[in-house]
Amino acid sequence: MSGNTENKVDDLISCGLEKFGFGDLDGALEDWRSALQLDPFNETAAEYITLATDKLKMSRPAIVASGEAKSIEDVSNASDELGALVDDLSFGDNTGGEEVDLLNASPTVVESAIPNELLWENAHGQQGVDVYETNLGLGKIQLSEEAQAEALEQTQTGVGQHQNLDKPEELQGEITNPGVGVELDFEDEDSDYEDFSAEKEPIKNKLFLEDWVDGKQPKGSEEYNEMMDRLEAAMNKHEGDNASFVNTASDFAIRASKKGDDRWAVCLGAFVEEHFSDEAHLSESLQTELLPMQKKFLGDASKLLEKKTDGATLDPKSAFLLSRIDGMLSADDLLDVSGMPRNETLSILLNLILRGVVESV
Amino acid sequence: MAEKVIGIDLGTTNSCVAIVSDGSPVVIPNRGGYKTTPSMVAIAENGKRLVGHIAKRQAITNAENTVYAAKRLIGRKWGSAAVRASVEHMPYKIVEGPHNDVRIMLREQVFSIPELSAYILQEMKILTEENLGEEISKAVITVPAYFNDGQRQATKDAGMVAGLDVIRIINEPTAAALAYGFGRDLERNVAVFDLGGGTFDISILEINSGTFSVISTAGDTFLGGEDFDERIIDWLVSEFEAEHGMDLRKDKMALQRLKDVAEKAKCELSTLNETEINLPYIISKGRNEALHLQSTLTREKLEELNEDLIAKTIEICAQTLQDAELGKSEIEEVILVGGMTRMPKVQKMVGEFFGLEPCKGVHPDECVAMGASIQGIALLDDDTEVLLLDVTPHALGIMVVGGYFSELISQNTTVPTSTTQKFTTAKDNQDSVKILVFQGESDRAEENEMLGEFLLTGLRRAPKGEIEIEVTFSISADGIVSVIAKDLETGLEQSITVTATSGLTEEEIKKMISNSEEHMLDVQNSQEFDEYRHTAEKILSEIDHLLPDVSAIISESEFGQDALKKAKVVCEKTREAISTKNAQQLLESTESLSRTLNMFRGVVSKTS
Repeated sequence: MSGNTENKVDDLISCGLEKFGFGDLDGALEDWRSALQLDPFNETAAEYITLATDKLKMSRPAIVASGEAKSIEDVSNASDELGALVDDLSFGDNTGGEEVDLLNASPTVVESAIPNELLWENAHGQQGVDVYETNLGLGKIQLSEEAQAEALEQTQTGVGQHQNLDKPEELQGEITNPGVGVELDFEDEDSDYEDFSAEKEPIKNKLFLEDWVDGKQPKGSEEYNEMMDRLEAAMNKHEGDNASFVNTASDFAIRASKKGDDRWAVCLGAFVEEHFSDEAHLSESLQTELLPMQKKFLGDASKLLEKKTDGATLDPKSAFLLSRIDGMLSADDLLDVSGMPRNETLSILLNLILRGVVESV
Repeated sequence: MAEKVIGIDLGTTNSCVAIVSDGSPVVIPNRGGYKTTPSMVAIAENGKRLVGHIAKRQAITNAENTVYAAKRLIGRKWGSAAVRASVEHMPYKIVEGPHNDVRIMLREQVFSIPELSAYILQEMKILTEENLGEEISKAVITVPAYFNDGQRQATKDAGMVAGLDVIRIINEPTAAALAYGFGRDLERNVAVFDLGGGTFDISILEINSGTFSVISTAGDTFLGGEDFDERIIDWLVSEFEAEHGMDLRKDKMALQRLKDVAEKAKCELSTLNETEINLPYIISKGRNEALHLQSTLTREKLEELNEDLIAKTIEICAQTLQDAELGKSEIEEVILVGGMTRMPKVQKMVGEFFGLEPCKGVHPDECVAMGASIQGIALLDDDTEVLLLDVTPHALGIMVVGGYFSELISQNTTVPTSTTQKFTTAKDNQDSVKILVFQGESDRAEENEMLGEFLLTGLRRAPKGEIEIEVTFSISADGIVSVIAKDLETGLEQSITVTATSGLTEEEIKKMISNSEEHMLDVQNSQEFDEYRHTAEKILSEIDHLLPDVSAIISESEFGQDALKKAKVVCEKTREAISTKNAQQLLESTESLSRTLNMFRGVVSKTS
């Protein structure tokens, strides 16, 4: 890195620290992210971003559930299981209630925070809770069959009606059951929850992250390829709304990373880069958040790269990158010579490593 | 230990370094094992300097920030024909320097040409030092025979910036002939046919009992192997377009791959009759669909594609022989230099033209650097019998009435030399004359390179043509040109010593040297860090291996748990130092790591 760039990075880090000191978290984050763009392997910037992001989350408004304010202390009781399902989801009600941060919310808080109006059932008998204004775009928490049956029994209302939940404890129990998927809907992000009523179409674009929830992360290149295929199938089913898809996949990648599932996070990150690299703005947050994790996953970037197999199915960018690998270049070198943005190169390289096409030796 | 000197062939496309070891010249391979290194410098997105092979790997995808063929610009004046041609051809931005020289802008930073050439020379120096395990400071660098004083000085400056003491600049064909004649007592005229990656040069030399002199030289600075590659690329692109209707030239990544594969195919066809060209997933066709390029190139097709380029080299050979006033039959040996002379068709046409089989005794890529290293040793060792007689690459003279160029020393005159001519005043009552010194072959002075000017005053006022002025040109063995103008009536005289300049001031050179030293320090630190890292990783690996056994043995005791905790902290600290590239921290934690390993070994050995 040239002296100029190095100075710029240092300046940005310092400016960010100053802003951080004055409580301007957004400003600080912006500076540190800019620093990371210049020097993707800058540990200090990465560390500060994590710090500021965490602080930013903690500084969100206190939880209001059904109009009742909760203190931040309540938040610390979040169960891991629920966190795995809905961490990062924040949703409020559209009746003027305050925003709820479900990242750290306790199961009770989550359950009580779901406004009754958001329960829905579609023509196929599927029931769930609409979640809107989330970090994932528009989404739903789908109830298990038992929970649906229970809810129906309790409310005795017909299809197409908004439901009332009288026994929120039971709903909470179902949500936290393993195997419950988080279903991502890629339909109109701006639509009102009212749209999810009786006329709701069967959900086509399901992207179940059960594998992740159950800890079945792709371990070898075969599993990885399989996961990528599934992601691709999900992507192909939804057409047009790239922003929603990328945001969703990015968020899941970030969450996977926070859970320590580096392989999954890298896999998702690589997928977004591979398919949406031309829409850099869509995956900007992903790039910034994932860089430290990607670096950790790659390990020593000064080690030489070697081609392991020929004949893998590739896209032109991956094929180009692979054609640069000649046994004389390290990952560091490759980032310099690819001619592509460094973040994108790193994601593609990790994709090749995960697929077993390239090895760092 | 005897002082060592390296010979560097600073080529337009590739560079090579050699050293005389145990009496024989040896080429130093680069880190990839190749004997030549691409003469390319690039600045990556993060500001990192890339030199050689790595710069070549991204030359097309980062074309505007990758400098190649900087040699065509070194020591040139802004506005010269060669610079104009380069501005037109080169993808990188060429700008005017502060001293009417040429500079290159890469990522908004301006570099002088000697500075960029210095990066390549420094790489050659580092390679040698890594290989020999000792510091090298002296070097002989080669330049084309037609380089003028400014270009030679600029090359010397580049050497200085790279931390080298350039003890001599010698002509490339001379160096090739030196390698050819090394250890042999020869007396003959030889032709050095040098077809490299970017330029073509033909030189006729006379070798006489260890004396090498260039009789004539010519060439084309825009004709070389890259033009051959371009023809292959054109052919592949048009074939692909005919089949798929897509223009691969519009895709930088595809073009970079095409460039690599074209060069490879060309090289393979020097030994094979046909070669397969496969570029899978070369370009996208819609979403999730990629096209593949698959083709077969035959030697015959390659020759057909490049027939005119080869013919052009032969035309230049004919002209050079004519300049040397020699017949083909007077050439007794043809030495082939440059990678392109491996092409069978080139060898065939050269052989047919000169009427003799080209010499196979010297390595086309390595002989110039080898010759330079031989010259280096000869300069350090008084006992050697090698004597180089260089010639003036260009004619020298002054401007006379009407803007014409009056030649005093002709091209290819062996140096040292001196010559005198008489001139008269051009106007009535002229009391002074301005002597404008030029170098070049054009009849028009302004088309040649101006080396300097001075005034001779105090002339008696007289009708034009009455006052006689004697002008003397001298060139020393070191190539220093002196011009003296003398009023023959009064005996008054004025003189000028032409010192070649590269376009850089002394201050600029000093600053560049300082930057270069800093870079060397960075390189050394990085090498040092790699050594520490290697040691640390080895220990870490052994600790990881022993950890389960050690844990099982000592985890029961309170002391054991504490020890395991500490060991884990040490391992983590070491890993952190590796990832943050903190050499000092790594060194410190490696010491603790070693103690931990000893402890682990001790625990395991006591219980086994």
